Amino acid sequence: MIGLTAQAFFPPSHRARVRAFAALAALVAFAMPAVGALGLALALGYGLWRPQREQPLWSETLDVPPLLQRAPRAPAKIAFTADALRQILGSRSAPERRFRAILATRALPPREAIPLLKTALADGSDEVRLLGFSRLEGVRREIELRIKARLSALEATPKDASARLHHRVAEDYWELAFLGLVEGEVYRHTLRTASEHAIDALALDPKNAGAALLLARVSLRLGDRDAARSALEAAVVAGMPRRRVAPYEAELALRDGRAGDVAALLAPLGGVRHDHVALTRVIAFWRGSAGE
Amino acid sequence: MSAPRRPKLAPGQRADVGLILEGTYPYVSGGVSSWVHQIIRGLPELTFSLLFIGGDSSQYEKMRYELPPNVVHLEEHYLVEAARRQQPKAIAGDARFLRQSEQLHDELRARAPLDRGALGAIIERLESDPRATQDDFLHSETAWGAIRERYLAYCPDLSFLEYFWTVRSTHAPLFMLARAAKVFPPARAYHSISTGFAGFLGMLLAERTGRPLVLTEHGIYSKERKIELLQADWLKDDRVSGGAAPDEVSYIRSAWIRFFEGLGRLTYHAASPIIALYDGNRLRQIADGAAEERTRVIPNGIDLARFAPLRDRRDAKVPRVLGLLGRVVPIKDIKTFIRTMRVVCSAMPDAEGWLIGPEDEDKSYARECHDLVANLGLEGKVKFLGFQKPEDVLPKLGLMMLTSISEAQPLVLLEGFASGVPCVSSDVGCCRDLVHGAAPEDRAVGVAGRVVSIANPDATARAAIELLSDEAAWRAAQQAGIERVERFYTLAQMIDNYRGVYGEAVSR
Repeated sequence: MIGLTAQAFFPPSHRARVRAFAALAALVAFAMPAVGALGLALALGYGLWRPQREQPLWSETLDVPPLLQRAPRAPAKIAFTADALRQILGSRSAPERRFRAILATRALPPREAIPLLKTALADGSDEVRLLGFSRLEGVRREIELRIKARLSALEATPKDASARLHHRVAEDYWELAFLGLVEGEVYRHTLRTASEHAIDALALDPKNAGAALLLARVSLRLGDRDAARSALEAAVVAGMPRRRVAPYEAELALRDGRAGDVAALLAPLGGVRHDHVALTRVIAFWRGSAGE
Repeated sequence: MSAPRRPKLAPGQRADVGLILEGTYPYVSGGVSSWVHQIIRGLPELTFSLLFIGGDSSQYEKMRYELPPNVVHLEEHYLVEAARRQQPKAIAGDARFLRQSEQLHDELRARAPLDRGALGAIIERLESDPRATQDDFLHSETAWGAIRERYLAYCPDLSFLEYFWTVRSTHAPLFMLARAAKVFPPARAYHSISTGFAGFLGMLLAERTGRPLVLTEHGIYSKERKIELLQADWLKDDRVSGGAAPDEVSYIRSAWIRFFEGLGRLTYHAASPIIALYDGNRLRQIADGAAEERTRVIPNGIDLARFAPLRDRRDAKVPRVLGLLGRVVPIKDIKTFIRTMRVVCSAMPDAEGWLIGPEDEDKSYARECHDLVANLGLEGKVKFLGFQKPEDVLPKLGLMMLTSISEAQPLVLLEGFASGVPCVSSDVGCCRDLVHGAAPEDRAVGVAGRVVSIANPDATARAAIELLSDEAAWRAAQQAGIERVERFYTLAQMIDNYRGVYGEAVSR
């Protein structure tokens, strides 16, 4: 069959010898089992008989490698709490330990890290003090540069299109105060500046509920209860959800001396989660459920 | 003004003292530079050659001091030139030199005593052919293998590229300094005003010539570099490993910090005496590897003849002017001074804050300070006066303010005391000793001002307001400052001390 099929591809000059080719192919096919078995037996026999003269290529003798000076490390996932770090910084621990505690504040949110960094400013070790200072300055500088950029943008923006920018600048000044990066008279000056920009934002866009709420919070901090009251009302009118306004209304009531109103004002917050056992009675008191 | 004098020693001539200065005199004004100027002028019987090391030549175009006649030589070397001058070529390298270098690195890393043999061989090789040694370290196959091995041994989880370039960046300037050591004219003694690159060069010069090396540290160089490096945003933290743990310094930052600590140890190894301005820094030098028996304290001193007459030029009434004499740079924490003025001006509307010092060293910081003045509504209240002669401004000040976050023994406080100006100072360096006194007989003199914690505008302002509104307290502080500086911090005492140090060194 093979011979006859192959004949079709032979050049014409060779087609006459097709019978001899077919006979040869038939002979090879017939003898293949015996020839194949014999070849396999000879190959195996030679392989087993022949002495091994060389090491196999896939293996090599090596010296025991020295231990690494530092083991490769998995990405760090160590958690630090502000309380633990505060304890280290407040204790008479070694300066190196306090230094590492300041480094570890990188893992904390700024609101928790900044009080710890301020503690470090009075530390006896230069390294701890300077690291704390430069970390504080880093946070403060970032906000101040943002303020500078936005104030420059404000100068280049037409007044009627600048409501959003005024709101952002007010938020930046508020952030400086809220994070505790400014204190004393500078704190009050910062809040006053935040208040001015929030007022400008509201004057240009009275429906900016966020700016109204911010103005209320700033006014509360400045002790200007009337301004806070107006701003809270403006926030509600502009569509701020009651739930977000409630804590500041409650704070205002407290500062007004209307402590009895606080529970009712906090009612919209109803199911607030609290994880601190010590606060249970305080929360129950303000909700008016003490002694129940 | 005529062109500044640039003296050069002829070949074969030598100076008495070779001063090695990194980033200070005569191109940068400030406390350390003033101190160097005082020393040179106070010792006219000695000749000085100056070797200035700077970062980039473009930052040091103008000399800030007129060189006294006893300065007989000045030359400058710039670290960035080290990177520009490299011409890589394929070479096999010197395995023995690399082994010795590795041994030295291991000793520095382990804070072990330095082996005289390995260090001596490296220095000898550096001195004999700095260029070939640089090529060996930076471009040879042997060095490549050594860098690879150390990478695998110490930080295999780090980016190799970052490791490789850190090794090159840190070491390249050292070869440039070795070339500088080869060409600097010989001196009878060398005096480095810091560790770091200046200290390393001092060590090379001392080894090459066999002459003594004196070291005076105003601040602690390696500590200052450490703080800078911890905040440097040009250094990226470990990328491959996913970052260092929050309470750890990343490997590359640590490597840079170790590099400067290593230079400190090499300088301490070669120098004698090792001088600090006050005992706190002397103890720090010992903790960092200085041999205790070679350490000593020489405090700063003030030229009373220059400053005492200024007391008579003061108004009878205490001026409500708070002055900060210093460069407008972050380490002086000018922003805290400005915030302090916000508080002071609210309580005392007639008060003024004067910033007296150059603004060209860190222009972006100076701009931020101007912005802060505007943001706090202090235009017209806080004035940037630029560089002024102390004699012109000191009689007009009610208080000398110092809000620095790091100092050693600031001359400005002593100059203020000598001129009859008490101070409010941050609690840095030995400022507490300057205000309250160090030794018992010094403390008995009284309190020359107030000391507050750093970066605390409220406390600083409270202290300033208290002194400015209580004339009796102000006068008591003024008297204590005058007496303290006249008894314990005179220029004559300091010059005498250095006359002794140099006399001993040049005759060694």
